[in-house]
Amino acid sequence: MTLTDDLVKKCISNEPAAQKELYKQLGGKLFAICLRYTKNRAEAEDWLQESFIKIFTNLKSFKFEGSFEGWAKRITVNHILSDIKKQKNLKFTDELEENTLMVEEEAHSNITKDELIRFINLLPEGKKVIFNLYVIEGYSHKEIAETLNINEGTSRGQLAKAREQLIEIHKKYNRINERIS
Amino acid sequence: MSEYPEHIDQIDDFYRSQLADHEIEPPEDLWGKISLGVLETPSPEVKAAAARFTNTQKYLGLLAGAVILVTGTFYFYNHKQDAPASNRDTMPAIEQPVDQHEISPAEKEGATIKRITPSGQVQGKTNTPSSNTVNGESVIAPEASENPSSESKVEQPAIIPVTPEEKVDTTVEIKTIPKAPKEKVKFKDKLKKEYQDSTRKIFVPGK
Repeated sequence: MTLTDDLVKKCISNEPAAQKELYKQLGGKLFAICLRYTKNRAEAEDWLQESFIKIFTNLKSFKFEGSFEGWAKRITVNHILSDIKKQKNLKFTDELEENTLMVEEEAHSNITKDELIRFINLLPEGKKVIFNLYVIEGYSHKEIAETLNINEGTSRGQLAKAREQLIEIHKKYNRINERIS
Repeated sequence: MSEYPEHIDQIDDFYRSQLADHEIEPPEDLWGKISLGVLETPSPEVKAAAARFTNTQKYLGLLAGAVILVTGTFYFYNHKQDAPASNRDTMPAIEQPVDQHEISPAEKEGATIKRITPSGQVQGKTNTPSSNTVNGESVIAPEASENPSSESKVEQPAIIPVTPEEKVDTTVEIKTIPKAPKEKVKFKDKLKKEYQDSTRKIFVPGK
């Protein structure tokens, strides 16, 4: 029995110490997922809080067949997607986000992981969601199409454009970085 | 940190390798909010039960209404009213009113009515109808109140005498029920008796 499975069993018994331990183990990973879908930190905190409440209240439905971490990540992503669909009408435009110039102000010589997340957040809303789901979460185009109620072709097309835009963003980032140095 | 890819085909692998297990420390106060939220949020079982109850609530209302209706109807048709201090035994006998009888059609037409009084005397009375018969035809006599002058007396038609053979016997005998002697009971005594009866029935059910 792994540490996480033991923790999960204790969490099912509503032990507060075990719940806090589980939060410590998974909180950082789930918060990183939330920040990949929004540039608004407060919104990401709300998503993390609501996701953890869902995880703790639905722990009994976990069957210990797969990885608990994967199960928790799936709950988080599903919650984020349902909230995005509820709040915003997901649009698949080609225009980059307005805060592109922020790269110029915060440019550094080395690209950190946080900057990669910032690059993703510069993508338009629809492309960002599809890129995250396909590349990092590992969804197939069919799953993405079912989740977002779009065609598989739309998913493929938006992903290809997202890749191109990420290359463009990086080139722009390099130009600014050279100018500074 | 590896170099950023310049080709589109390398983008996926680069981002996946960099961000797959990436962690960002959440704010410290977030755990407090989460633990509070877990305490306040009902479990899925409770939520499901509440949803089931909401769905069946309208049927429960209908069922309750039907039960009330059936019970009400049952009691309405099976209810026995027990009036205090009165039942068939204690109820006073209904007194037949004396000198009350229906006026028969023959009496209305002017037939001679014989009445036998309680003392055995026979009394006869002939009603005077407002119309007289002359040769089988009815002749209406003028009312005195309508024309009080002496002319009305002159124009009154003559009454033709009828022979005894032609006389039709229209005599009706009506026996008057003798008045029952009333028992003189004081009101105070009657009330006392009723009260005694009622208390005996209420508090001593065996008797």
